[in-house]
Amino acid sequence: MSVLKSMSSWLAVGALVWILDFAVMGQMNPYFFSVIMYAGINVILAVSLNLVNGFTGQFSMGHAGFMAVGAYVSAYITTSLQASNPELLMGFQGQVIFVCTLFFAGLMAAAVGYIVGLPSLRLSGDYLAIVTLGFGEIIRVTLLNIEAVGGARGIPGVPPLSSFGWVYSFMLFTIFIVWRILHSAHGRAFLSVREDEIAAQSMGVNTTATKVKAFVLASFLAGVGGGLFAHYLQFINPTTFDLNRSFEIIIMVVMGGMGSITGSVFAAAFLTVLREALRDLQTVTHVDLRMVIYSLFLIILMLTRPSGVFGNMELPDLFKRKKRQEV
Amino acid sequence: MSIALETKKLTIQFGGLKAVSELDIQIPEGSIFGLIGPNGAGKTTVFNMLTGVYQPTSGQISAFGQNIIGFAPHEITQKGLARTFQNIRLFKDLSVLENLLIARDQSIESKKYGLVSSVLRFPSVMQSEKEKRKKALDLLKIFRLDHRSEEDAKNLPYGDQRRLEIARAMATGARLLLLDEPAAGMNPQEKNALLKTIKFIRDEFKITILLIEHDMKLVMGVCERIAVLDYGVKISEGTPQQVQGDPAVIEAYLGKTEKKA
Repeated sequence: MSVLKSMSSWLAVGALVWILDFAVMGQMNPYFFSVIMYAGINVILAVSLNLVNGFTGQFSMGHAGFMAVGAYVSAYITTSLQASNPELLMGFQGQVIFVCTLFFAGLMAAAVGYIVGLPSLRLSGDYLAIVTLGFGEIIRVTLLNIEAVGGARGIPGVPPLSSFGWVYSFMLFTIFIVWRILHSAHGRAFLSVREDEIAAQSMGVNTTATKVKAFVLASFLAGVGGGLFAHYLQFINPTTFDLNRSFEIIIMVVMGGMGSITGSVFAAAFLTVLREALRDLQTVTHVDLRMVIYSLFLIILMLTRPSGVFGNMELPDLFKRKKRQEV
Repeated sequence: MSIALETKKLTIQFGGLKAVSELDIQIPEGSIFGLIGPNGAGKTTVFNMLTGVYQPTSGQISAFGQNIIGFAPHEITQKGLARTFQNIRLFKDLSVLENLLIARDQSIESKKYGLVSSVLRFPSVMQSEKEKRKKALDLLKIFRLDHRSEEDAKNLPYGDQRRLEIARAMATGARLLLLDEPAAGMNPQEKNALLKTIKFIRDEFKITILLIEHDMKLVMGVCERIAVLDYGVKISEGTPQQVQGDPAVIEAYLGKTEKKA
């Protein structure tokens, strides 16, 4: 009982997501709706990457690779089911199958994360960044060469199973488990590795196991995010998951603040919206200045606030600080 | 009395250099043992071998009757040896309390839980967290740091940071504490306070302390036995008085007196 009680506020927000799904989202402008969906998916990716890059202090540049594994695994399963017996994916049954598929896709991504992480996490800093970048590309090129998943053509006609409800439920799920783990002995071990690996070791922390744990967990969540992405866009190919995608997620993490869940949520939502909002500018200027403004914005931010918008603060910390000042 | 730590013919070679050569020491349980020597004598190297950072070339190390060679540093810590560092290595951006909790989490005395349990926060998890917190706060009280428990470790004054490092090592549940120059950079008042703290934790927790130190006054005041290293070789061992009077030690520290013609 106490387990459920401690989760009550999370469950309440989850219920709200589904109420919104049924009440509002159907009538929404499809374009706005797509921005909202991508924002939700990007939050999942940014928060999970922050677990590795921000909280454990290991700079990974291959997050899109794990997203790709999740997207391909889940898309392959549902498109095959769609082809063989489409009635399975109808109604409630279809929703259950979709969620199970997402979890399975996440587990596959986690397995790949384990295989990648075990050798590469012995390295640190620039070396680790390069190795993870390499592994991300290996995953992409491997997918490019598997004919069963369409090679360069990718998988078209993925069933549109990602609803607002699922994307935002999984977003909440991601924030929830990352938050809870960070506020436990496991999370403190992540932080100790970031702070000082040698000291962590001599306090009894198995640093290699800790790093792999963070990496596998982040890969799992990225896989789920990839699955949601595939079933919203309804089409995936290897180019979707190239280096640009990895960098996009890194930018969100850095901008929000390495080591702040709040920051990642905020930055992922903000950057997704910003890039779309700047589209309107194009109708005025007749030149596509989107990426120029986007980049300028990032440069200015990094010059003025190098630790990101939130640094390592979370939303509750901000309230606490305010209270302290009032007293 | 039983032996807390024993090394036999402990040797480590870096290329052609024998940094420590055939070192034999025996530290009885509950004692405060000093390891001294001039700069570059190999004191910290000995520490690094004891804590698993370096693998010795030959020789034996046993702690509480168990061999500890070939284990990773974190495994050795779980066997009851914990250390502090010559140049402080705190988790700077974390709070004082978190510094201790991290050490406490790994202690064999604390109840462990898995990732799923940490997400679901079962009552047993909360219980374990509560116990760890209490233990950490108790330790902070002993080290007179309890009023700063929520502050970032980097914001503590130097002397407090040193004390916090010792408290953190204690939080691992260590039975043998290895202190690497705990008084480095302290002023005389801080040193005096540290001396008292070291004696106090030994008496209070019945643990064994091995300490590396440059400051002679501190070593003489607190240690029951002292070993002197020079160029990786033990040149003297005994009570502070014996060591102080040993011509070999005086020679190592001050150089040879010229013979009168």
